[in-house]
Amino acid sequence: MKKTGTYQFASKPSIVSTAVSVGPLEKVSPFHPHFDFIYEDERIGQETNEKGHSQLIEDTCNMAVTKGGFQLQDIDLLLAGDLVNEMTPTNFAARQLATPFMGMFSACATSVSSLITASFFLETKLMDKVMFGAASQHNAVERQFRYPIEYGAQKPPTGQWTVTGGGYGILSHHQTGKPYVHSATIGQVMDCECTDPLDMGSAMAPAAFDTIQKHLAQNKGTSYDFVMTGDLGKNGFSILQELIKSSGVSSYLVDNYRDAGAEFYGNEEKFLSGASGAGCSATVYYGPIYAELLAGKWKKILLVATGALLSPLSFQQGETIPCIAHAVELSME
Amino acid sequence: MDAESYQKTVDQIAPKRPVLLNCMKAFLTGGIICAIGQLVSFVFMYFFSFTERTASNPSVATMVFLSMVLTGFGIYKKIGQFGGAGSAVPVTGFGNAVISAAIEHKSEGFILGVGVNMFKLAGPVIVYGVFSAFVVALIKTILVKMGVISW
Amino acid sequence: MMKKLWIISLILLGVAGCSEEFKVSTYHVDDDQQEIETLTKVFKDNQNLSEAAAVFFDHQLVVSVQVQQMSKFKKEKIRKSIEKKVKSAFPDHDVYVSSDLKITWELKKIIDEQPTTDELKKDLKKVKALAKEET
Repeated sequence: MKKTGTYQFASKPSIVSTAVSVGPLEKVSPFHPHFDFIYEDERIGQETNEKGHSQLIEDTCNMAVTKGGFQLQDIDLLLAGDLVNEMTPTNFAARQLATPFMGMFSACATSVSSLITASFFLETKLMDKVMFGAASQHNAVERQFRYPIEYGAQKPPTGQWTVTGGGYGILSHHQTGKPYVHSATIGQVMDCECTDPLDMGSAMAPAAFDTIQKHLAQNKGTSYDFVMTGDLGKNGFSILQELIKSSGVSSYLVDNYRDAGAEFYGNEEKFLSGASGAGCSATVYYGPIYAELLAGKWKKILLVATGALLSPLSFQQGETIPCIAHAVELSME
Repeated sequence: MDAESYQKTVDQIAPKRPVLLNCMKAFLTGGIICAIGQLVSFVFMYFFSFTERTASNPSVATMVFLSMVLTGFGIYKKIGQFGGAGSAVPVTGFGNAVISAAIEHKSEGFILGVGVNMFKLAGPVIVYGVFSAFVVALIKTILVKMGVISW
Repeated sequence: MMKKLWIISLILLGVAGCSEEFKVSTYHVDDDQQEIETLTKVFKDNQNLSEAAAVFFDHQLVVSVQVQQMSKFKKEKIRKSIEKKVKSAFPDHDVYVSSDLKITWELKKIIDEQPTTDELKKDLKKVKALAKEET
């Protein structure tokens, strides 16, 4: 039988602390009361965008450690990633943090893939505290994947805006009163022959749909408060809803679907279809959603981060955009 | 899920580009830019000793300078989002392409950053502009030699 | 209501812009009315012109013509035909015809100022030099 990639974590590892910081533009987000820190400067006071990106990661990781009442030397492992070439911002931040470190790359799904990996490490009991998360910086990512920032190219209504921000958390052994990882589904790469890099939402929707379907099939009868995808944007999210409607998945006990990218900037027209980037799902999941879980507002949620696995080279060579989605189910007792 | 039927779903749901509205916006934006260019050219003719023929060079330089300033202050990308081709086709769009790339790559130094990448976006315009001029000139030369047309 | 007013005023503006009257301004140092007549007739025969200016001076004839908006694409052709006609009408003159707006402005300036012979000589030299600049 084909493996579905769904795993349950019997030890129920808990997310004991999180920290989220964002750039100045993200102030307009309806989620902003839950962001721990909002920088006044897009470059975080550094000379280059990439240095700023690195600084943001370092600051946010430190914040997550301090908020949990730990110290950096308590961290067994840092699992993190970003979207810039060879992941230098994260690697450079890890140099400053000086904890054991492994880089993770699942494009914009890194926020969840790092949490899933951390859960496996915790399950082995070999580690006590694993830090996980992801970040992105608008200028650094845009210049790599698209045009220079100041270039006046018209973006279509399906275009998305890369978030400046990072979200990091610390996963530890089960603690009552903290949200824990119940189960997770490791997604498979899906390719529906989408080629437009300015319409990532429709490229990623099938991957999200596939992962959600697999996860829900393994957890029949479970009732979720909601299922939240990462950065499909308004367009990709309506396609996902259409896919769900036209399939049997709607019969599961989920009637509430949400998308972090579509909600991130509210209805500001400037951001077109919504937010994207590794920082989008990371900031929303480990900021407002974590806070609401902690406050007891939600009992059981499914977070599905989606990532488009393209590079500027691959789409210039006419390759399609393969996508991936990883799902993690968080519970609060 | 097969790719073909999925693409159909995407086409149904994805918001369409408002082509007609965009055309009108582009017409308006491009028209305004060109009107400003004409005004600049008249200024050069009226206050300096430039003729209609010779005023075009300093006018183009002035327009590129203006687009440089607008790009630096982050205004040109807003005009670009509104006007589309209307702001990309005039020479100001060319200026914007050169300058935005130069600003972007300043962090890698003046040789490997600015020098190497400045014409990253505008390069194709130069390459294919020169190439197509060559082809057209070649065709015309042949036609003239054959006596079909005269210079 | 406002919209209608806008449209009407736009149409009026368009009509007014198009039906601009054909103007000829000339300056003849020796005030030879017959020569001016002949030249004006050459201009009036061509339907595409919107404006013309000419200065006669010591067997030199500098002419500039502006064509109507819709004829701008045929500007060079019109200029050549005018040049041919003016040359045949004034075989003993050194004729120079330009279709450049700047030259029209310069000639009109001369016509307004009605300068003395010496100044005129200098001015015309300048205008001709200007017209010959290539880039």
